Amino acid sequence: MTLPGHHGHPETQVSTLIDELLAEQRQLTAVEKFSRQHEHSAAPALQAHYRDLIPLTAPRPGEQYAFEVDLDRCSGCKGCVTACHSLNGLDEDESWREVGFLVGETVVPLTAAQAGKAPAPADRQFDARTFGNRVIPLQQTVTTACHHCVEPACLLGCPVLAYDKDPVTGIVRHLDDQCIGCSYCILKCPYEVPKYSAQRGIVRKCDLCHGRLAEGEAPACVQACPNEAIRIAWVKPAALAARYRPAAATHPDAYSNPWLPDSPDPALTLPTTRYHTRQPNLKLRAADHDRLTPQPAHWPLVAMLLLTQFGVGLFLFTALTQGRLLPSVRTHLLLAAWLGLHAGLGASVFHLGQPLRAWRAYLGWRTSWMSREIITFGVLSGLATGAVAANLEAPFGHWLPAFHPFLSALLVSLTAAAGGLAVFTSAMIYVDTQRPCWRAPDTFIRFFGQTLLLGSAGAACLVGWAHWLRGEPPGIAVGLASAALVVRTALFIWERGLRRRAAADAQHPAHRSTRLAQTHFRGTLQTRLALFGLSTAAGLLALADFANLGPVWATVSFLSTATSSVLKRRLFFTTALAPKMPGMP
Amino acid sequence: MSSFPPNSLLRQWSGPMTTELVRTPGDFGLGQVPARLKPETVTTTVCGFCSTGCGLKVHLRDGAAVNLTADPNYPVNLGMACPKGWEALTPLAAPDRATTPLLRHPVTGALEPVSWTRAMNEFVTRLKGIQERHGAHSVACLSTGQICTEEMAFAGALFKFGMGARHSDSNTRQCMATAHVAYKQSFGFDAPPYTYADFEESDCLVFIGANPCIAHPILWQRVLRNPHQPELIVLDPRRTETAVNATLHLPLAPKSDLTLLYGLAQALIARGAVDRQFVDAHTSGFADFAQFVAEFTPERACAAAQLARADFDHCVELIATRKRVSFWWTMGVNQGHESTRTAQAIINLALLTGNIGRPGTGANSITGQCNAMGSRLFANATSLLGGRDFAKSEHRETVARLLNLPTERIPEQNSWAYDQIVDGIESGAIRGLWIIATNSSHSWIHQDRFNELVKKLDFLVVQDLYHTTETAQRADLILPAAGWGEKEGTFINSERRIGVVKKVCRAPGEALSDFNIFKLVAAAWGCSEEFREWASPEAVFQILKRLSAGQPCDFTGIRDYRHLDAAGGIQWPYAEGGDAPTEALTAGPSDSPLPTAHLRERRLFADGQFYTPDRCARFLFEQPRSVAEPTDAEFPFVLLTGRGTSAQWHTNTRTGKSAILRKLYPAECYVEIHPADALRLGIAPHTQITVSSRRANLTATAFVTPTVRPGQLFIPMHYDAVNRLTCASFDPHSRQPSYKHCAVNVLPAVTGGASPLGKRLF
Repeated sequence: MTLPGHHGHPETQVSTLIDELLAEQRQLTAVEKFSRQHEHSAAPALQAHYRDLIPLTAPRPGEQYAFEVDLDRCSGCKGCVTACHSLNGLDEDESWREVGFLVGETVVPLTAAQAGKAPAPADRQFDARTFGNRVIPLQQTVTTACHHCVEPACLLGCPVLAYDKDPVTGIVRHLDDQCIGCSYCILKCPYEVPKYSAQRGIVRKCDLCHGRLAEGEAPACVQACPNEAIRIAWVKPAALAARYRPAAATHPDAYSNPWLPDSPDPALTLPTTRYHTRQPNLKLRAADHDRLTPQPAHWPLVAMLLLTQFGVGLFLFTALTQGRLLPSVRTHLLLAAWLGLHAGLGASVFHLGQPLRAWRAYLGWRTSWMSREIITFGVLSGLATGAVAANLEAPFGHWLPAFHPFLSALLVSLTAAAGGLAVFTSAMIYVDTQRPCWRAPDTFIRFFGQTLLLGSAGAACLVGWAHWLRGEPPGIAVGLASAALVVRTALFIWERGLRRRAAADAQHPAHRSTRLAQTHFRGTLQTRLALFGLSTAAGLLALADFANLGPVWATVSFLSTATSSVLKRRLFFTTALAPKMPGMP
Repeated sequence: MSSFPPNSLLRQWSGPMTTELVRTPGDFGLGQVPARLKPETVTTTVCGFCSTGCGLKVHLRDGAAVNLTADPNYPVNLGMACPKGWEALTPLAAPDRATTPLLRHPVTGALEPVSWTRAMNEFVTRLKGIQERHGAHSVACLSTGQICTEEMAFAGALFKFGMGARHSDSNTRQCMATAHVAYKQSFGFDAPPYTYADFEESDCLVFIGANPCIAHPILWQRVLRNPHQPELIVLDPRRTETAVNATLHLPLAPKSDLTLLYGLAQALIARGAVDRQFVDAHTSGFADFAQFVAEFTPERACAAAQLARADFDHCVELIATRKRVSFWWTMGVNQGHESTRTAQAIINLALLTGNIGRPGTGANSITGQCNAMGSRLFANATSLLGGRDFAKSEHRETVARLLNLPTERIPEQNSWAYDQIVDGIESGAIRGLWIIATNSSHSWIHQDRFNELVKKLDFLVVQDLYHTTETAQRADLILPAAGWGEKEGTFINSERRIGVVKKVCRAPGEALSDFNIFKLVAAAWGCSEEFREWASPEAVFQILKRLSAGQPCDFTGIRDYRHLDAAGGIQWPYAEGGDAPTEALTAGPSDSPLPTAHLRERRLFADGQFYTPDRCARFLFEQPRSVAEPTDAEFPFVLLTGRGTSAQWHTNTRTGKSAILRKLYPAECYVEIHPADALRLGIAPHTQITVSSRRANLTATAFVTPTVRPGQLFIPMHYDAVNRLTCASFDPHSRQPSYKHCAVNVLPAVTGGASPLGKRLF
């Protein structure tokens, strides 16, 4: 194109030129202007680059594919992360590979040449503590993706069998159309591999580019590493088990992890990725080792746990006291318990990304505590409904045939027992993640304690009001309020003791979680302390004079207990730190 | 293998969500690609971030880019790319692109969309008004190493020959001015002598102030391809990614580099490692140099650099005995208070050991920006087009003749450098400023002063992709520019390779290529007649060829863009009718890059003939000086700045737009501090600390790591607060800012401390 000539008004010239330039800017010229020299080649042009980085055939029996990373060649360019993103067409912020960072020191003996000369006083590399040997600062980037574990925690925890470990290749694949988006695999996987997509309502993860491997092409990350630091190899799962689960039990600290420094214990899932380095005496820690990052609060789960445990607790105390309850009061207690339980079950649905697929959630019962929980809660729901129906009093009872009192009582007791089992399965969901802060004893005390506390405090409140409205003496409400007081105090003392021990001892499994609570959730801890005081005081006031204002105080006590429980359950999730792959500073 | 069984009621092995991730053969040598992004055709282009100049293969549908991979046939990167390259398309789609010109409303003070007509009218009226009131030179321009050579040349020619202004500089002042001046003085022309194959040919590579592992990952790839088991010597105060990979790391004290390099020269001379034949035949000034460095004894060098004598001796031994020693430097050298002499001290080492002009040798500056090399030759800022001198009448006449301009249009004096332009704003000499594709409000040293001074300007024009950069937010007028990938032109990379950039994306809204903006300005200014020939980037490329003729950078042998594209880029010099190493490839690259790679790689000075009048390279040297701001009791720490990760580019205006790149670096500013210092000051890892200098202070997260030495702190340059701390001092020869040394103090940040009661209870 040419510029406008001399003639014409300059402003008109400029306007015309603007239109021309804007039109020209819309034209894409790369295809028409340049020869299409690349159209002929069909074979992948990088094949020569990665030919030696992938096996020629599928694994033999007793072997599987695995990533093999040469740490000495990983220089931290992170091209693998972006290549995975681009070559797999992932979402804007999605990549199935990450790069972390280890820092520390290594002790290197002096070479013969160096040993002859005294180090200069100014040379800070020499340290008397190492007997004249050299302390060299070190940093190491670590590329990491799914480890396609021998015993994949994600797969074992999935309630709908949305994971599949290929019997030939060992590749752990995720079935995106099967996934219900419960995110349990995220809690289960020690390596933070499955990532939830809110937009899709499912998780996705690395599939080792199985289709590429099948065609003799390298996975995206292998293709893209400029330094050939990532390759695909065969590994023998049996050998991994022998290496990572030696007969003599050891408790590796950050430095002595046999797999990779400052990373999850490989004995948990037997990750197949192998990390190689020729560096001696590595003393490395993750760059984010001391970073305490709050975890997601999982509000629907907070609601689900509290409401179901409230419901189970009420069933339990109804069962324990049913002989001494007025029938109409028993009906109201059971209705409240049923409502609490089912509100909790309803809340759990909000935790799912794909609730319409959730009907398959029993499929994983062989290995998944989540499936077992869902089955148990299903049975519990049936029993609870039966128990309520069998104990209906006027004005509800007219429409149903009368139940034998023994059957009614039996149903309530069975419901309470099933409730106990359901709370157990709930706790096992978290225990099974192997997170140190969710160890079995602690989690059982928390969940059963919560069940007893909410059940007793709630029942005291409900029975108290029922009797008060009828003008009856408080009766069993006093006993229930006393039980609440005892449980609350016991839980408080236990929790404080645990926190003190964990805070003081860096080796304590709950140390980091406690530190996180004390640094990031100080306000929550203070509020809970105040709520404990309030609920205890109100409980005592209720006991002091139950016949008069007792129900009011019992209600205050219950509501402050419930609020405190919400905060506590939120902390349960937000401080659930676990060993993870090394991250960024 | 791995084919799933059909769906059953209970198990959905596949379905719409699975389909989203299906991969399919992409053809065009790509291997499998995401099925939904399968290209109809592909084209190649050169990356627009750093000076490595990687070839990228753009996947096109309907002529527009849908995806991108690294080009396996490009001789630079051999099918690899760093994260920035992989994500090069993403920043173009950012929501904060400038899509219309924006003009600051005189009353509300807000930037409001206006038409191009109005924008040009304002541009011309305001700047001409300033020139009428305060003289033609009161309007200055700060340009960039990020746009195409044709665009830089147009900007420079328009600004000086069309608009009659004199003072223009570029952000290459911040990265490459030192290398430019050092080469020019030592070799007679700004001519980095190497080719990337030299990384593979050396048996000893010396990296000085360079961290290629993350700053130039594709060059590090070439180092790892070296089959000669080379020694890797790294001179860097920090234990960087590259230093970890060194066979010998010399963690020298910050800015002791010049003394150390002179010490190395002295020791090499003392042990008789001088290549007498080469020195006598092809250099001048050696005797003076040898006399000068005599006092730089190993003891003095080791004391200044705080190094172990054994390491120093080992380094000397390696340089003296290895056959092919190459020296590589980048910003650790360039951004120093005596950087030109430091770069020349490196050049001196190469000259005296005869390590130049042979494979695997050289004193080699690794450049920064994608087109810093284009800027150095053709920006028409501090040197006249084609690496010429404004002050020389014969140069002015040549350029005037080649451009069909009256000689008087060409200023007889050099431009002020960046810092002098900034000072000019303070003194009132500069009243109008046009900033093109750079983010001075973030990147300029002693940032607060710069941002105070721009308030004094009568008119600030910012031409950029984004209206959100720190600089654009201060503009009176924003001109919306099309970015890399939305226009065509050429870049010149570190090894002097000219590569083509193609138009594969549509610019948003009314954004125009920088080239077309200059064309528009020329028309609006009323000087389009003088630039009649500057009709398109490719037309300007032909002008540039003319301007290069007879210069060391002669590339008249390149026919056109298609020639460059087919050859996989061509290194200058390539004079018409001269040595034609790329001819073998003009039929099109083969599928395997390796057998022909050597045909596409060339180095300079194989004949020992330099570009000085006497054809000899010069030994240049000067007494080391103290830094501008030594540490003291009040500010006892040295602050180092530099690249954070390979996923970040400079002020992050582009890389910050990619969600995937954002995952690759810490979102918040952090400070590297040694564990001993942290312990002493009561700084716990990952807590907030305050770093203060005489100019400002910032709060950032402490990253406690032994990779930085006691008494030193490191903050990546990508976080905007860091240049609030830096001390504005400059190398006197190159006027490059010294970003690598200022005195600071560090303390735990003041936060609401826990009450004693709280401590007891929890």
